[in-house]
Amino acid sequence: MPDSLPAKEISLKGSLLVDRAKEIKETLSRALQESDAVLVDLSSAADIDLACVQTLYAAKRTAEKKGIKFSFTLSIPEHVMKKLTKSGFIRRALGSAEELGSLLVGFTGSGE
Amino acid sequence: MLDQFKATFKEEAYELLATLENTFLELEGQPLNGELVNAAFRAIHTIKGSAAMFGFDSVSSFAHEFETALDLCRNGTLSVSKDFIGLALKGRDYIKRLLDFDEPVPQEILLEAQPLLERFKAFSSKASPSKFTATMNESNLSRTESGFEKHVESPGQQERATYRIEFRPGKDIFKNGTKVLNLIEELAALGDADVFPHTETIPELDDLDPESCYCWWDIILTTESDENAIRDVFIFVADQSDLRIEKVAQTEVVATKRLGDILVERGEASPETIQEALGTRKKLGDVLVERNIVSRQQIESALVEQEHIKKMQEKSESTVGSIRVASEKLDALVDLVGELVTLQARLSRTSLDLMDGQLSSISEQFERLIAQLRDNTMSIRMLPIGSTFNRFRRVVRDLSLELGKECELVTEGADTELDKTVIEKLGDPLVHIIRNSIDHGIEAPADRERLGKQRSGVIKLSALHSGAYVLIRISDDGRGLDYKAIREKAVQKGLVSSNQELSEEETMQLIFAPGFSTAKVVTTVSGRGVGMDVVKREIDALGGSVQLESASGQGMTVTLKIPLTLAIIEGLLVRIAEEYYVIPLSSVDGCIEIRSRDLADMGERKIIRYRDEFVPFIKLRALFGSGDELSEEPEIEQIVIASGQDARIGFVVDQVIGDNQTVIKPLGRLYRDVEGISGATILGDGTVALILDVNRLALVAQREVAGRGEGVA
Repeated sequence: MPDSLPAKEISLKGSLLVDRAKEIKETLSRALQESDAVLVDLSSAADIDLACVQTLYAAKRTAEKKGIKFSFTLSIPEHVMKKLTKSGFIRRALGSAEELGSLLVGFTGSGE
Repeated sequence: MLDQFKATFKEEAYELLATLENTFLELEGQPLNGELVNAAFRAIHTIKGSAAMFGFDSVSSFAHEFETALDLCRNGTLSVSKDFIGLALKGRDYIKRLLDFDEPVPQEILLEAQPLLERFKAFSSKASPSKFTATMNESNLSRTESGFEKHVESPGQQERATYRIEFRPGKDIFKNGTKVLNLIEELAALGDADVFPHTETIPELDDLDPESCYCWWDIILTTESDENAIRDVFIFVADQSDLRIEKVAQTEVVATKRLGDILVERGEASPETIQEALGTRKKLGDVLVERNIVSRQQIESALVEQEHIKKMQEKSESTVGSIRVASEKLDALVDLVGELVTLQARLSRTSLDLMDGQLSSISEQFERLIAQLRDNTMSIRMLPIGSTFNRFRRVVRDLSLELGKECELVTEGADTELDKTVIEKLGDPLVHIIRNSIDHGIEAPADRERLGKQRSGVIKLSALHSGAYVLIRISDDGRGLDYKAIREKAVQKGLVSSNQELSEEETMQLIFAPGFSTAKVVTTVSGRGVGMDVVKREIDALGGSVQLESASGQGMTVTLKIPLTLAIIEGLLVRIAEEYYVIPLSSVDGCIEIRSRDLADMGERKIIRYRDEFVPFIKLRALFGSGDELSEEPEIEQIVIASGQDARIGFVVDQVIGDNQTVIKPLGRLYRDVEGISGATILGDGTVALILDVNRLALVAQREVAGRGEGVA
């Protein structure tokens, strides 16, 4: 087993829209190469669209394949929650100590 | 016995009249809408019939002419004009007046019918058969053996259907700027929707093209809209995506669907496969996934559909199951619950004193049940504010006419719920604020056009929940506050000296000064109690607050923050000398301890540091003059930090006791004007605790600190 790499926290701030999807993909890709555990902080995200949601899902797929932990910090802005709820990605409100990844439809153990 | 029926008839008639007013107002804007005309006709017809049955002859005979005219509108021989609507509204008002009196109705009132009847007759005689008929929707027509048959549906009973929608956006859909998630939201807004995104085709990060779309959706939608309306949502992306719409059920109520049936309907599995799989002992979904007949996501999506149908069933059942309850009965129930809460507090205290394990356990269970009962009862008293909002349609219309303005009322959040007493008390303040908007805010139509605005001004009423409060906003797109005029008026009234400099904020606050009103003439519509100071007082009395925002040339917004319930609140119990006080928990920010030495060090300035602010404090002992000066100052002072409307304040108390379910009892008339106390409550052991008015006290404290010439940092 290689030496375990430090956990990395990635803070995605502002508008997470298709024009930044490439940049976000690269950031996440780097993080997945450089550590064993990636924590995504969305607390300063103002908005999110499908392109960036997909990118997060893709990152999770890769993480699972490599055995890397991939999760979100607990604070998710209301606007983002609303977007995700209305488009069906989450089906109920986040409990006080619940992590977003466990609620996202098709997020864990996914991909066929 | 008959009296009971009469009372019920009146109640129902009033309700019909309330809805009828709205129907006429809507008809004014949509004169060709056949459904609305029908609804109006049916309402008057019902009132006429029931009135006759219960001996309200004056109502019934007046309604007769009214009904005749509406009938002519119904069959297209009389067109719905603005004049006619004006008459119809007056007719409706008159019927309401007749109901207010019991039979026999006084002669003077009966005579008022004459001019109205004449006008109705005039309209009826003018009516002529014409080619004009109210248009009918195509969907109202259905094919029968003998041709087409018209379905007339009354508004509000529009038939809902459930659709299964599969939306597969094309790969390159982002490239032209399409916001897919917004489309889904738009679709869901058409009714009750359950949305299931398919994410199984999203690849790993390295293989992902971030600008391509990989997701697709299964959506189950129950809506009044038809298939075309659904397609319309996707109209701009129709050629770059696949859209499949299937009607799953024509009416709202549908038998629960089994998972297997849903999968077969979707074409994802054959009936035989389902049958076979059901034969095994395992769960259907698991079997099908194991055998690779369907994917896990397809099962999940089908389950979402099943859940949706179940939800819709429950919903339709609940709308059918509602009953009428007399207000007094509800009030009596709330009182009883209040008594129970107080009694439970006594039980709690007693069980603590006795230190009996068994009793404690029962007392705790009791406490939980009482809390549930309390919440339940409080929620029964909650009514949607929509009915109050609707009342204003008429107000806006009449005022606009009277003042020569053109205004439209837009409402949002009509189903936001509020305690019924609060709703009742909000009526007058809201009318007043709206009147101000139309009178002072909205410009005359010609002026508006010149300014590049739409001729018709918009008044927006909105309500939404925010924590333990409801925020009600009234905004207009008029000229905003005229600071100059306000200032001039204030100088005129002697409220400020002519050379005093005032910030915009301070000028705004002048509006709340007693007797302020810039109205030169008391207009007929609201009548009594002029002035924003009255509004502020009424809102204060509800435990709420008023805030203004204004943008010159763009409009003004008044925000009312009202607590959700008046009767029972969560409070923080504190002790000062031998007396107990309650501070509403919703206003409490925190409690701190500070050494009296440090407090004294502040010297003359009665402020302390809390988090990053300087907060003024009040020694409640001194303020209420309770007890003698303590023989020796305690080493540590307890301070409760609370937030008033605009300011924070610290209350220095002798002891912070804890949480308390506070049943609010109003103060007797003698004590009502005492500053700083907003009510009282009875504690578990029978003592009376006074409830502090945090807003008022915070202002007092601020004033004191300011008065000393020491600014708060």
